[in-house]
Amino acid sequence: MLSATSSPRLPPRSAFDGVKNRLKVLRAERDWSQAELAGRLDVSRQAVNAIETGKHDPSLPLAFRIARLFDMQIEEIFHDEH
Amino acid sequence: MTNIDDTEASDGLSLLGRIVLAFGAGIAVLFLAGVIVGYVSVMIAKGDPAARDFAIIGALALAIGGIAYAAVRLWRRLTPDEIPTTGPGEARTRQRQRRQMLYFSVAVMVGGIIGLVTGAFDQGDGSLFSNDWDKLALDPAVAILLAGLVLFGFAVLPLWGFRTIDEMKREHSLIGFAGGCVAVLAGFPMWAVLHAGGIGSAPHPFGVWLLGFVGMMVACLYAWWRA
Repeated sequence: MLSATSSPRLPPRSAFDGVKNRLKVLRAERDWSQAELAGRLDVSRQAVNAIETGKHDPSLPLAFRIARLFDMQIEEIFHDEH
Repeated sequence: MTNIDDTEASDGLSLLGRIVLAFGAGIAVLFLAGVIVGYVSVMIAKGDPAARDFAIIGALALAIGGIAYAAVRLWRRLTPDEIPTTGPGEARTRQRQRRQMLYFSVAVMVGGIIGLVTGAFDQGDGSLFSNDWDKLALDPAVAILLAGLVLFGFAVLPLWGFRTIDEMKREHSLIGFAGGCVAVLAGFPMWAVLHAGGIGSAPHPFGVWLLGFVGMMVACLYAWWRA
């Protein structure tokens, strides 16, 4: 059995939640509505809204689609604060 | 570049959507109104109405209002010409919304047809969506038709819808399915032991089905609310 001092302690679950992103800023720079971005990404407008507000973390394929659309690296759009 | 064929197809789809919406909403409202009339007539015949009876009637009336409101809202959004086009993305989003409206309209229409046909052709004294479902008596041909419609409405249509939605809605749907599954897994044995202890009626198939359905809806609504 591992002792409390030797085991690596994980941060609380909430610390992993809500990956930050620059989607709203990038969208605004292009003067796109949420519906416009949603259509270009082939997702619903609600999904775009949820990603922008940090309530939904996109899958890796969707993150790549977003990065390709804005011609950027994923890390330039998504980041966590840890 | 504007593709004329696409425009014509879009207009045709709008027209089809309106027809399906009107037909589906009409059948659903008629079905619910029929249920209210039937319920009230039974209530009058029995006398001494309870508060629960009024709550059920109120809920049915609310459902009619909801369907009517949804039909009006969806109707206005069905014509692409009414919404200004600003980009190819918005056009695709509207196409997605139209497909979703078509899906809901067909689902409501199938539900309405199942209810109407069951009510109209029942030769017994039962009801499909109640504890006395075993008192239903249907002609074999009607029974096969209804079984096909139920399979379409509760399996084919949801599975097709599941393939067309995006990843966030798919996640919500999965949470919903899990909620329904957990509700049955926990609900049935709970109900059984409570009945064994003399609390409540014995578990029955429709009740177990309802556990799953309500569990699924509650979990799905929770996921939707969280997002």
